[in-house]
Amino acid sequence: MLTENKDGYNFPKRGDEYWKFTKPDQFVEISKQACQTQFQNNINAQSPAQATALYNLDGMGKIEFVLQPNELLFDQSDRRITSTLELGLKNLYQGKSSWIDDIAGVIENRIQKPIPRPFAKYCIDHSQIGLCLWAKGEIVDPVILSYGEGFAGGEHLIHNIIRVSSGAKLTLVEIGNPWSGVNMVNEVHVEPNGEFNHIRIAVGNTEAQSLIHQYAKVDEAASLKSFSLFGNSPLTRNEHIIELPGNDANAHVSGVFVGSGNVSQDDTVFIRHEGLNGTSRQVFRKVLNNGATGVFQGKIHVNPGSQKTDGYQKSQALLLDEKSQFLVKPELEIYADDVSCSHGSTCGSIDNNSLYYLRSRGISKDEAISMLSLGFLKEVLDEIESEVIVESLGELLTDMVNNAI
Amino acid sequence: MLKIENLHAILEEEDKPILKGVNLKVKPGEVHAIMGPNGSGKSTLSYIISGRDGYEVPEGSITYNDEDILELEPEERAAMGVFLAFQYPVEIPGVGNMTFLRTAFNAIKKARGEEEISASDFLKLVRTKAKELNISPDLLKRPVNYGFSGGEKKRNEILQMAVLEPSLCVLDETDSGLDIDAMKQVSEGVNALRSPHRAIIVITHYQRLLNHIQPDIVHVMVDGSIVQSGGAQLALDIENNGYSNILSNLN
Ligand SMILES: Nc1ncnc2c1ncn2[C@@H]1O[C@H](COP(=O)(O)OP(=O)(O)OP(=O)(O)O)[C@@H](O)[C@H]1O
Ligand SMILES: [Mg+2]
Repeated sequence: MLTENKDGYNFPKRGDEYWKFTKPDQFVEISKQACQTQFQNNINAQSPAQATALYNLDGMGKIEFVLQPNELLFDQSDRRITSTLELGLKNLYQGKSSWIDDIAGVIENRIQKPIPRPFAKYCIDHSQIGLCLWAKGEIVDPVILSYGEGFAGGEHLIHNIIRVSSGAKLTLVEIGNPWSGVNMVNEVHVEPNGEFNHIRIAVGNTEAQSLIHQYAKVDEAASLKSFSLFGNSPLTRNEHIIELPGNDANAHVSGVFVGSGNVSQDDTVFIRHEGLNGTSRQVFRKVLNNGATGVFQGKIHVNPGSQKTDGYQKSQALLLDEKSQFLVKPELEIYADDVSCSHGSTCGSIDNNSLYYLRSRGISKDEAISMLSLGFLKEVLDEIESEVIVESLGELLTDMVNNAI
Repeated sequence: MLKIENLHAILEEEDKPILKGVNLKVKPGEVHAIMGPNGSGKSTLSYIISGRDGYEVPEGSITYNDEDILELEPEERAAMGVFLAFQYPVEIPGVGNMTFLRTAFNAIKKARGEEEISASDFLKLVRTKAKELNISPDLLKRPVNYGFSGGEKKRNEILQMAVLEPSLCVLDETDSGLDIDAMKQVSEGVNALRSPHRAIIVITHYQRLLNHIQPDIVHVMVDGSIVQSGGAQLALDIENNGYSNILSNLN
């Protein structure tokens, strides 16, 4: 199925498994281009405040970093950083710290079977840019990682390495996609009883073509929750691969996409239960208008003997016109007999009764459609752990929906 | 105020005639009751007044304050003051009741060129009206009608009416599903809106409601048209004798 190319990476081709709906071609180009140019990139860092103010996350406690292609800016005086958090740039860390070496390429390598993920491997092998983040205790405030202006207009390979120690707790908010093309990987290790909450806000660039991977290993009684919000970019592939090797582990992945016009967004999720009593949830909703395409491919895999697994998967789209489409491949692969797993996918248009009801109260048709779309999406926000973050997303989501109608 | 003449309506998806020549004139300050057997077309009439799509009107007209409203969108009619309290209020998950009320209120104000009121004044207004209708503050926070009990939904309709202060109120079986106390509170809510500038049409099956909301004129609708009109006494006759007399007179 895969062809060998001259670099030794078997990049997927159109129609390969897990590339059923989205064409991988562009991502081959983006990845190679990024590799060539990443060291030539000497754009000066700009004001770090800009990227975050956009999303109204100001006012809450936070630890904030702006990643630039050539440097990382952060507030040195913030003591919380040193007591419970260790961080640095990937290129400075590499080869100098064993905790990085225990994760970098290791989580990804476990996951190459049964389906190879050449793009992720390529990114990990070649990326010089990324953040290494190690939570050693409970970090109350969210860590906010913004991708700075320095990324604008170029192709990039970004590799973040995240470790959440036993019993530690980390909330990471990643903001921005100001690049034109990216291949990025987060490798995450959540150790026993650890808790990792992750929010990705990839909004605000109408040019971006993004290939985003989050590969995670979630140990015994540990938990990972990841929510992503994708705006109207031409092409996005968001891949989650999560392994739950220990007992009582928990993984929630959720996402919202609002698309209008000639855009395509693909969520591909693979959750593998290998222990007992695992729980997982996949909850995705998309509002699609003016010919936009939404893709969801999701699998719950339950190993033999992983009894009492509770797996849930639901993907839903609201199509605001007849040209938009929602393409899905929901799958269950279950080799244990005492489990409860379900999957469902729905695709519908605006409910006429609801629309009439709102309009009969004086609300214009467009505003009513916007309210109903927003209502549809807001239910996914229930998946987010932090209420402060949920509130901070309200206005952004409203703008996204209004712009799409 | 409202003038309906020889209104015919066909349900488009079934190609089925429902209204077969309805005539109705309502003046400001009046309260009309419409009764009639199940399936006679009462709700359909109320939908067509408020502007639901899916109906073809091959004949007849509806004018409101001397303006032909048949071609107007539902929101335009609402801005003119038309309000329908639904027989089956719609549940809208994900949309907060309070947000919904405020959006509707502001939309109507804007359409009329009136000034919006401040968020805090609006909150006070809604809380006061909700209290009068015995609506718990909790229902204001929940999604519109979502998981509301039958009676809570009906009260929520009247709350919307009280907040939006329309000039024509059409109440489609608002009494069904209400307990005795609620019926009284809702009726008080409706009576509070009675004014020389406002007209009210109550669709009901029971005389009971009409004890609370005294109608000036009672109409009986059978098979898509109004076959008899009279004073409040007509409702009492129907309560006692059903529709058999009226139906046999028709034949
Ligand atoms: N979607 C539909 N498909 C087929 N028939 C319909 C549809 N909607 C309404 N009708 C029919 O139209 C007729 C009038 O219905 P309508 O709801 O207006 O009656 P009603 O007088 O309000 O009855 P009730 O007292 O039971 O509320 C009924 O015969 C009903 O079955
Ligand atoms: Mg009815």
